[in-house]
This record gives sequence, structure tokens and C-alpha cells, in this order.
Amino acid sequence: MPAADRSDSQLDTGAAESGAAPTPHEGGAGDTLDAALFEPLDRLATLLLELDRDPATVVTSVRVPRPLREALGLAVELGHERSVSDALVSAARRRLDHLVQDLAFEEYYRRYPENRPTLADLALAAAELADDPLKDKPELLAEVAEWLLRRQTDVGPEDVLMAAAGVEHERMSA
Amino acid sequence: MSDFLPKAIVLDDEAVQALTDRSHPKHARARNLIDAGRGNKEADRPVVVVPVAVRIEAGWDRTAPSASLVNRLTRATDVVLDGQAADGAGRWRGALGVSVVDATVIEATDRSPRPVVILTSDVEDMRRAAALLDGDVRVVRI
Repeated sequence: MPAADRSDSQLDTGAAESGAAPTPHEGGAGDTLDAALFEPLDRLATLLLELDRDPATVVTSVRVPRPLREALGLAVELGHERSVSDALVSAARRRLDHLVQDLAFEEYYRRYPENRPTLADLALAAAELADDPLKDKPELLAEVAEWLLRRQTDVGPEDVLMAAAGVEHERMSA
Repeated sequence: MSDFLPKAIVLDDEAVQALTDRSHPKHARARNLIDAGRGNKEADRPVVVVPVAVRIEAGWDRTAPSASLVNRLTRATDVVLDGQAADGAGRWRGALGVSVVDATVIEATDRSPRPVVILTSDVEDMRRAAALLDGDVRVVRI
């Protein structure tokens, strides 16, 4: 990309990623979502983007439980970690990535509630990822998901798969 | 179930496009697959990876405002195409007759932890590749 264009892009990014002057989403061409829809995440996402591009470090003091420090030292000795600092930074980075992802999904479904998948939808997707034979039984997954939701609200796709596997087993052995 | 979730998910061009655009006909499907991958336990969450050639083909500039959705829903990590990866991708292209970009998808899959899922619209080529790769490689149609 030419330098001038790059500069413009960076300015755009600064506005979008920092949440400055968000433009209301009007469902424009292609209905592509823009950063303005995710203002609460902007600063966090920007910092993680910066982390990818500018890994400059600062010295900071962090209190770490002694056993954790010793365990990390052992992991370094065993060659599983490059250093205690790397292990801590990597774990923190992973946790922040997950936080951004979780908040992004929450925000997405809050703004587009009609797009929120059902428990059965997610169970089917999980079955596909897991290459579970239940991926070919969407009706069973829907039936089990509905049954579970009638009894408790705090259920996830994995609960559906486990219960559906039980139902399938019973049917096979009947 | 978490034990059976993949440790990595590799995105191809159409998977990226579907996740980028809410009006894409496969957006809901792609989004559900990424959402389901979040699983129950944080430690079990698969890493999502994207070869840089896929990003180029799909026009995924992480700094573009229009990329915020795919950036955040996937938290995808770039798989860079260094000299060694280019050699590997070149071998896959020669062996399978796939496109350059698909060859980088296969190369990225080869380097990913197992089990690994390839989210792709090109199921036939990726299944041919999966048959040649070691370990648990799953191909899921986007």
C-alpha cells in the first residue's frame, strides 16, 4: 500500500479502534459491521493490536505466589517455557484475548438478538468441531436441548452433547 | 465434550469472508462454529489461526474498521509465510494441485496442534490434504 494511503488508514484505525467519533451503523454496503458497534472493546482491542506490532517492554513489579514462581522456574528448567516472564506474559495475553472474544460475542448478540444461536445450534456446531456422530442428528440435539432448558437455564452445548449421547446409547441398547 | 474440541481452528478465505460480513449467507454458520469453540473451560478454547495469504485474499486488514468484527470474534493469530513455510506450501501445491492460498492453509494446518479443524468451503481438496497429514485433522464445511 502506498505510504499516503497507509497513513490515512492508520488515522481511520485510530478513530475506529479508540472509539472516537463513532459513526452510527446504517447497514450500509454489505452490512459489514464496523468498529463503532464495539466501542466498549475498542481500547482493549487497540492495545492488543499494538502488542502484535510493537512488543516494547516495560519493567514492572508483580507479586506472584511463591509456588507459582517455583513451578514456572521448573517449567523453564524442563524446557517447556522460555522464561518465567514469557510464560506470565503469554498467559495474560491468552486471557485478554479470550476476554475480548467473550465481550465481542456478548456485544454482538446484544445488538443483534435475532442472530443469537439457540442452544441446539451451538450443540450442533460443537458436534461438528468435535467430529461427533451427533453432528448428523440435529433433531435429537434440538430435542435434548429443549428438554434440558425446561429443567435448568445454566446449560451449555457440551451438556447437550453429553445428554444426547446418553439418550442415543439407551436407544441403541434398548 | 471439551476433550474433543479441537486445539486449533484454521480459517480459509471463505470462512474469513463469512465472519467479516454479517450479510454473508454463511455468516451465522461460521459464527456458530467459532462460538461453539469457546467451550466451557478457558483452557480448552481452541486457538484460531489464519495464514497471512488468506488474509490478503480475503482483504482482511486488521487495522480497517470493517475488520473489527472478525478481529474480535475470532482473535485469530496470523500464520506467517516465512521461507520454511513457503517451502512446505510449495510442496503441498505440487502434491495436491491446490491454489497457492490453499497450500498455505494446508501448511498452517500441518503446523497446528492436534486435533485441528479446517473451516473451509473447499472440502474436497482439504480432505485430500487431511488424509496426508499426521494426527487428528478435521475438515468442516463452512
